[in-house]
Amino acid sequence: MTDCPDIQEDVSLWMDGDLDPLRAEAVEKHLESCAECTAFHQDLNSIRHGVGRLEPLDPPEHLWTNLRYQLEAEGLIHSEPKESFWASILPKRLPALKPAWSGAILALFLGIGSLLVYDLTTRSPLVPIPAASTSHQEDLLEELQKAETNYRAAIEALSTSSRRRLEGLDPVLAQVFHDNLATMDYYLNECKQAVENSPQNPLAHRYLLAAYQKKVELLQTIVTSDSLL
Amino acid sequence: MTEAQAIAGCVAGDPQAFEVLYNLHKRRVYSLCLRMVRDPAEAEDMSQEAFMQLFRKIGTFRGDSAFSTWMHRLTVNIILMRIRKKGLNQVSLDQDRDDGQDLPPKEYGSEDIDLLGVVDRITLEKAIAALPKGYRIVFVLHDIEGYEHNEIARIMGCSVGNSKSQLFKARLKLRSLLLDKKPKLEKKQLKASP
Repeated sequence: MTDCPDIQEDVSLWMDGDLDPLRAEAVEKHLESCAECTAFHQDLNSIRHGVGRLEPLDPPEHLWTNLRYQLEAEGLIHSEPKESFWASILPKRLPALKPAWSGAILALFLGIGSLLVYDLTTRSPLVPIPAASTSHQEDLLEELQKAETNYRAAIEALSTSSRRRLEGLDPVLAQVFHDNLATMDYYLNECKQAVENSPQNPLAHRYLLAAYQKKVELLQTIVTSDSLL
Repeated sequence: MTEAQAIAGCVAGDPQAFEVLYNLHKRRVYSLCLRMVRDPAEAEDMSQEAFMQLFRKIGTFRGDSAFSTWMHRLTVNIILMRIRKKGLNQVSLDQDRDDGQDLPPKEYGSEDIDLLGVVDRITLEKAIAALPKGYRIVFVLHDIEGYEHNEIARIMGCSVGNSKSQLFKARLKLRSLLLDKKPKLEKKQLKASP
């Protein structure tokens, strides 16, 4: 006589295909004649089908927020790379307009600068320059002239690289850069003229230095134009 | 973004890639944790730990197996480690196996008590959650997650025979719990009692 609880363990194994053929045959034969074990078999089948229909459960929404904080805290999420000056002031979604934007910003800068130069050359200074001793003023002018020499050398060095870079750029973009350079050169000449007219005026030299500095920045932008776009 | 792209993105530290990978696997990881430990807060904590481990180790994923399999095994390891750390030495399968009080009473020659139509999702989830821990772990791993007995034996540090035996007892207990929910059977049991 067969003991049902023992057979039921075999039924469980038989359903998983984990029973050798001889015991599997014994199980099948027993199930034909035992209502209790048949019910047990059906119940396990029902459970199996029920388990097959179980759906994955949604985690709470804040789990991702917590995870994100921890990822940042451990430095697994990298922060965005730092942008260059020009890239930071230009619109990100309109790469085609970047040169136009840089031109507009430059034009604004030049406009303000030109007004100041005009004031320097045609009228008395907007802000009275405090009186300085002759020797002190000479030292200051000498320092400014040295700085101008350095900027000119930098511009000369960058000009070669930027010319090569412009040749490899998209013609439309290259033209925008050429236009910007031309505007910058015009402004530089204006500043130089102001210095010639008032060679002893430190403010004129400072504006000339600022113009050189901006030209260096523009040339650097052209040379590194890949990272800008 | 595909899973492969997201994996590469995670290695590079791309925040969007982490979110994509999380969204692809969050339900499976959380479900596994919740079914194994029952407590939602603990399941949440374990899920977070599982994903953190995953993201820390993602650079070591070589693609020898499916990413989901790799992630799943990592999650199971974390759950079991955490359970053991919490003093669940009682997960030791032997203890549950010999614990007769968890087993349903033996019934001989009873009427047809098939569960067909009774096993709805919520009832089944509750019944699984009510299983003793040792039974529940083997049942979830084998019957829900599809692990083989030899894998369970390796993970749990027991014999294959032990794993099979635990699974049988888990099914027996689950059947008993589900039968308790069946009104028709309850009526019959009441009538039969003296």
